[in-house]
Amino acid sequence: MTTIYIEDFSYFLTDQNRPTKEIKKELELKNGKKYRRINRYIILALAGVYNMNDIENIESNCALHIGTRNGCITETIDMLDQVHNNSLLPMPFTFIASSTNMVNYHIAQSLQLHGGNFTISNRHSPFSIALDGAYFDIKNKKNSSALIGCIDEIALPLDKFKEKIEISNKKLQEGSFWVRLSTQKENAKAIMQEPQRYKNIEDALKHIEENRSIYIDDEKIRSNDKDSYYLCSNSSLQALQCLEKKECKKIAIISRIGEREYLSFSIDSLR
Amino acid sequence: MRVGIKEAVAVCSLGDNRKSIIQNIKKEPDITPIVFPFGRETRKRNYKRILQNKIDNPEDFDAILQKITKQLIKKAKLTQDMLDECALIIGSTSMNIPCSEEIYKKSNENMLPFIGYGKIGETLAKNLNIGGEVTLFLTACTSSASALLYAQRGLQSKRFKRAIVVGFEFYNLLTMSGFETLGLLSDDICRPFDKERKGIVLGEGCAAMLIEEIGANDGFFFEICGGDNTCDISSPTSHQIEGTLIAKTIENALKDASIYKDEITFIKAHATGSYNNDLAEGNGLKLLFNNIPPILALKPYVGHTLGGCGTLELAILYFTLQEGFIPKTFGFKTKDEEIDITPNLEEIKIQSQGVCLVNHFGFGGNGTVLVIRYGGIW
Repeated sequence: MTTIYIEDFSYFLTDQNRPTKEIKKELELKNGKKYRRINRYIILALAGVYNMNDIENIESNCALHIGTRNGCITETIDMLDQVHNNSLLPMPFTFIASSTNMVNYHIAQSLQLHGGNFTISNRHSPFSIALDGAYFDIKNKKNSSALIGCIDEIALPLDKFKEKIEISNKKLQEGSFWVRLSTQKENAKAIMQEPQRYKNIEDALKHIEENRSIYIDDEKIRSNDKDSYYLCSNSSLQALQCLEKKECKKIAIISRIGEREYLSFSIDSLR
Repeated sequence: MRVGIKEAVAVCSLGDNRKSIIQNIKKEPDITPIVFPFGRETRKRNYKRILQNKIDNPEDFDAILQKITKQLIKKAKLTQDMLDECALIIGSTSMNIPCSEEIYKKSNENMLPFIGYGKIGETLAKNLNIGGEVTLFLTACTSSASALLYAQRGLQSKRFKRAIVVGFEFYNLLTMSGFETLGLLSDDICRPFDKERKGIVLGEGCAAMLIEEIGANDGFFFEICGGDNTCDISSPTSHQIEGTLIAKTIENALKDASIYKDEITFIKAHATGSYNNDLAEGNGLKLLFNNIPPILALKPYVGHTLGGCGTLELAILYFTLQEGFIPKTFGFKTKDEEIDITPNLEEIKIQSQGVCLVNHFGFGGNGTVLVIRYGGIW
């Protein structure tokens, strides 16, 4: 049986007030690359991925699975404004960069990756679906490793945006978080067990061992009690942060992925 | 496990049912250009519209997706128990931009009316009582082709028992304006691999397919044997002109499907009619095949339906192969010597099983190739 490991985990989170130029400059100083014609959404993704250890040595056939709840919305709003309020054609590079999957292209280009490349969305848990797909592609030998990420950005004006996404009482965070999966045990941080599917949350909870910290990703539950809220798969992010900070050794993430479908992941720290 | 397409429904500029699509693909399609407002002026561009289904508000948008998916559920005789164990996989480029755009035009709010793609899938699943996973693919022109590959892999790894895969693309001025600003749109018909090509013709369409395990006694079968997806990092808008990565993606797909290249009966090319795509795809095919099998281009009939073309063009193939023919490629006039590819210009009758290669290459370097084995009783 193939064992699949979490090699590393990283994230970059900020709020809407931090200037894009500043994040980009910090990123370029960090990795020594120059990025042109990329928007904030792509910069947020790159900033998260380059917080991962040894990322430059990633194998070129590593697959890229990205989940997003809202996609690249800021640039889409700007283009709607240009086309409909100002009767202008969008600028060519703005139009190209607004395609949500362009984030995959820029990450793949920056890391020189040629493997499978998917961008997916789901109302409740895009990260879990991306992680599930990546896990089974490795298990079934479609790839030997995968980089799985979750990216979302805040659109302005903030009060309107909060109204649209139905969150009024929390400080919003935007950015990205990442997990690297492979079959390599050496230097791995955790073991990921095979994801399980259940028809309801009670069944999913019933099958989780008692000593695991449980995190639930469901847009309608929004179980976190913290003041700040990340826009996409928030509980998955918190679970991985808990593991990273060594606050827990065993975690379970239960994610709603359909009308009557839940995914359950069990992850055991190796440190 | 053998996984294949058990049923398909589609709506596009050729018609809104199997019969009209088969009938109209044998006729010359309408080539009259339409006047579009681009910036402060108007220009004529060819566009393949679904005349009966104007998308002016969210209700229209949800209604057409629901209508198509409902038709599929009815045709495939899916019971509630079956729907409980059914995943819903959706692929599109513009997603709900068409209705967002309509509301945006009328409101004074500087905000996108609909935020979060997931709601499209959730609404559809809720209204049709589909119980399983809901996943939306956003990989530009490969979106619904990648959704099909994901569905095939999901069934093979027993993550779900069946999947409804829906691909769609509806008219919106934002997409039209974006392609116009890139100088890619044609006022003529779409002419892939043709020296007289004038660019891409966009179109709208929607197709839904049921993906399930297929058996030995299924009569006509349409098996997704395998496929591959890669990322070409040479340019955000086109694949490497030499075709190396396109050839590699096809090679990987054939390996995944355990099919030899000389088993290929014909190729459904991506064939957008843009110079870069034609050249890269042509070069990729020439790198791989000594004798290139017949090449079919479907975009001259239905336009480029972007993220929806994976399911729409496969649904058209599903209908025509079931009828016993491979359509001819419409509108080809003059061979482009630089590319040196002539698509099939005559309808091909089929009487035995075969293997078809289905190519899709999009913005962001995304490439998805599917290998389809078809056969049965004609």
